[in-house]
Amino acid sequence: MIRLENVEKVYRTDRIETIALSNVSLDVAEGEFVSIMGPSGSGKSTLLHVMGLLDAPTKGSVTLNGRKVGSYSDAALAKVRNAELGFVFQTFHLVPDLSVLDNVEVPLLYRGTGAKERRKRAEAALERVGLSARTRHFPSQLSGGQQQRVAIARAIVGAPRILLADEPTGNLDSAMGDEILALIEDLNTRERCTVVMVTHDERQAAKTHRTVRLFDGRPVS
Amino acid sequence: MLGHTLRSTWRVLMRRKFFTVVSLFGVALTLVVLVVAAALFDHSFGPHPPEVHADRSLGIFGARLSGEGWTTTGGAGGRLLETCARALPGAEITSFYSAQDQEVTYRGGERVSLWVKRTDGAFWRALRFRFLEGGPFTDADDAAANAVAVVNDATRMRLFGDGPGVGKTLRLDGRTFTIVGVVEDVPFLRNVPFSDVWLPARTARSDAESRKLVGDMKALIVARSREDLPGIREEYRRRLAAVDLATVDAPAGARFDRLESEAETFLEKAASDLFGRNPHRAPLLVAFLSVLAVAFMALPALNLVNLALSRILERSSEIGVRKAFGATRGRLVLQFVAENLVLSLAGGAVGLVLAAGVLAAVNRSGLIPYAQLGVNARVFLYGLLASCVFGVLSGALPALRMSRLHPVEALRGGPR
Amino acid sequence: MTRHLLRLAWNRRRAHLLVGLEILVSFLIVFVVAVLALKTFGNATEPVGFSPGNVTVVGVGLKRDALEEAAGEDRERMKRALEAVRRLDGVEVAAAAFLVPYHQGSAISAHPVDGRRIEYAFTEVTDEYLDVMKLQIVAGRWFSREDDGRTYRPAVVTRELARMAFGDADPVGKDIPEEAGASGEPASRRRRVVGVLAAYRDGSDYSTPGPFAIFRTDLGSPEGGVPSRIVLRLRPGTSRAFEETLVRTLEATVREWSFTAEPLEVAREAAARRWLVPMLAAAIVAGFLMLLVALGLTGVLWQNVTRRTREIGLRRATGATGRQVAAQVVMEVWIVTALAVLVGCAVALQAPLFVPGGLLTAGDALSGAALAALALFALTGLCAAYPGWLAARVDPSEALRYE
Repeated sequence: MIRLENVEKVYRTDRIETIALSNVSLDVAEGEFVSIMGPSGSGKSTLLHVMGLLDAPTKGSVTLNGRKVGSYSDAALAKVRNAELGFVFQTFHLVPDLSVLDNVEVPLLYRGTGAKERRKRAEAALERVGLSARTRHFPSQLSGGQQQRVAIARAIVGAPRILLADEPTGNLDSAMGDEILALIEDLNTRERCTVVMVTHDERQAAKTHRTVRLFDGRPVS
Repeated sequence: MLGHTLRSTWRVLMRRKFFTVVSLFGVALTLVVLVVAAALFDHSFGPHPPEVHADRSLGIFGARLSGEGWTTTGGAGGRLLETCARALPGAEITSFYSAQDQEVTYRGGERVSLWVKRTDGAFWRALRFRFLEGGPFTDADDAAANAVAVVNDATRMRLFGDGPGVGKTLRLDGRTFTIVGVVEDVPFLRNVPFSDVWLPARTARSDAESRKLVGDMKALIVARSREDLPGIREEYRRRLAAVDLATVDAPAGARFDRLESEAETFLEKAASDLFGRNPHRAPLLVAFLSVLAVAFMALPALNLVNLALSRILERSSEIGVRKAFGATRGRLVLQFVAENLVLSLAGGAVGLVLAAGVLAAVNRSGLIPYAQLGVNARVFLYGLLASCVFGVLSGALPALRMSRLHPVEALRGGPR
Repeated sequence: MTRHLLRLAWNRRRAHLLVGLEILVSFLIVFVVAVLALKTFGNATEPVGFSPGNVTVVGVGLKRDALEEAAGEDRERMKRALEAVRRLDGVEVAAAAFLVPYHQGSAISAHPVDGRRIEYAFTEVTDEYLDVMKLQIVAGRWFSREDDGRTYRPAVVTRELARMAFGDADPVGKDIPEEAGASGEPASRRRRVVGVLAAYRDGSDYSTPGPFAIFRTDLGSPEGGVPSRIVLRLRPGTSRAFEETLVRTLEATVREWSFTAEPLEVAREAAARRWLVPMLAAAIVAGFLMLLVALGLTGVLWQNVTRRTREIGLRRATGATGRQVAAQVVMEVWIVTALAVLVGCAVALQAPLFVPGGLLTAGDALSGAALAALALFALTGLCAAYPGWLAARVDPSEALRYE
């Protein structure tokens, strides 16, 4: 599903060069639940961003579902992201000025889905994450765990085949974190969603199919 | 999509109430100035009664005689009008009238200053005044130089109080005139029909006017149709060129060799102050004023851009998320411009209401006599247009800047 | 501290650019309004040169255009009219004049002479004009019978005209320079200065005093035109109803002419209003713009403070007091203001070069610029007050925890 070949990512600012990723090759098969681990600054988030087409590598190629997306334009990348990918962030990144329902609808807006259809799908996604009672609430009225569940609903509303999660439980206490992880596992086993998750937690990583460890931008075994 | 945007916009604006109010106020104030200016313009140049045939009328407002070192400028003279403006082909009604001048009448020892215009009988056919009492004087009255007068309602009030005006007398210029008609007040800014008192042209004390090329008169020509207008302009020009200037009285020894005058609309006359004889001066004037309006909007727009930029920077994580989920640059620009447009339209609405109040106050203050300024359909549309231009102008720049933000940077919280 | 702030401001110059631009534009607008106001009210204190109270002007509708040769009849009629007026009880003294103060319309004589341009407005009056208007002669004399039948045209000029034509030399007895053979004037009709006026401002009370000449017209001589106005001074205490008597008397004396009377004070007020109303409108619009700028500035400053909460918290943690933090906010704004005002001054002080007729002196521009600078500093200081107060109230521990 996702293939990275000799990916390198270098940040250049004025005179400083930071090598975030160096010679990373990776294959993620369909239906896999992969976790990425490593200390701070090891390039975990960068790797996730590259996989999610949010950032382009300075060297190497990224292939998504058989398509080489290196030469894609900004608009084309946006389309791919919209159709194939779903994101979950550590700090939730919900839009505070939108209701829960409106937040979940966001990906469908950029697909041109009609209003009725959007509403239907959003409600379905919220039900899937167990929050159908809170459609009209606003993020500020929900707990951390509930907000992350809304974020997950948003990530899956467009039925993407790949879910990318950047430390999804980082801002939650252990009880809520376990709930979220359980939800993600469920999505993986039931809907056969390919999941790549960045995590700090060894216990969580142990529940995944495979763990990729990074150190200073390089994969180590 | 629209509903989503509106809901989101409402929440965004409510979250930062202070900025929203500041922006709204700024837009509203700007719009007040623009709308008041537009109303003044419309009041002066737009089609209003009694000028019901404005779209197929031309006026002759002035003439200019020049020669070696001497120039005489003024209104058209009686002789000029009779030889060049009488019976032009395509003209349905031709009226000659004098420029309005202030004259004094005395009532119980008190001086009452009145604007007086001297017109022919055709004046009342070319313009449709609203008569509250009686009627206009006729061509026959003018030919016989009858001492009759038409006054406006305000004059009737000043001179006679509450009673009717028809039949009462008024002493002007050493003669006693009998009032035959009372009309509704005409605003001062409607230059062509405006006056307090209208008298037959022949009642003027001297007939010196009839010998002058440059004098104190004006003409109003109502054509049969709009298609006849160019023909009228052309024929007037032709006849003008044929006038023999050698017979013209001039100061000792001087000679005049050029006579200039034009049949034009009132807007063209106003534009000629800036653009001379340019045939496109009317649209040029409108364009010039529009540019001025946009320039005036520049400062408040700059303000709004500043505020919009900061507001958007706050929401960089939202931008990152939207981009992550597939929003293209174009969609984001549209979204932000739309938000700004909503704000501008709201400000514009407030501005329009305030402007209506200002105009009412100006009407009441009597600064411009008999002003009937108001926000009519044209002025309202103009206000709407100005709000939209404002919204797009002040929203485009910040929107473009932020839409270009790299999604990763945006998620992190902004360029840094 | 100042150097630290200067460095800070310089590093953040991109962000300050927009604000600086706004302040610059505001400065220029305030400058224009300030200069206009200073000139207007400065002019109002200048001496008028005559006494407009109790003076009535009667406009005469002559049968002929004033430019044309006057027939002897018209001259006789005017003499009869003046006599009739002088016989009236309420009239102290009466004269005839072509143009009088506060009336729109002017006669201007302009001649290029030796590379200079001699340009001045003028009028022609009869001898009694001195007493009607209570003019003051400071050098030479007024017109008198000794000017009858001379080969020159006697003139009384203002100091501005004397300076323009003759520099510092005594103008009395000299001829006003003009182009030889100017439009048909024979050399024998030279204009000779016989006296100098203290002042004569024929425009509104707010116009700038300028070069002006009064020429003599003598109804007794066959040359010269017939003036179109009768100017008279009323006896103090004359009732307002007298005006109607005056007009009726004139109408009865010369039936061919029309007469319109107006107290000079009425014309004076109208002239003043013609100047003040547009100025007021301009000032209101400028006020609007200032209000907008103030609002925008306050908003931007507030945003700055909320965005830099962490920085403020840090400063407090390292020992700054609330007052110092507030002062920092205000100082930062004033640094930007100072820069913008500096640029603005550079532009504003060029203004005298672009205003024609020497109407704007360097002194005027300087005063205007100083006033505008003061106003802008006050405005920006005010706008920074509330955000500064906010900054002072930031709790350092909360700020450093803020994400």
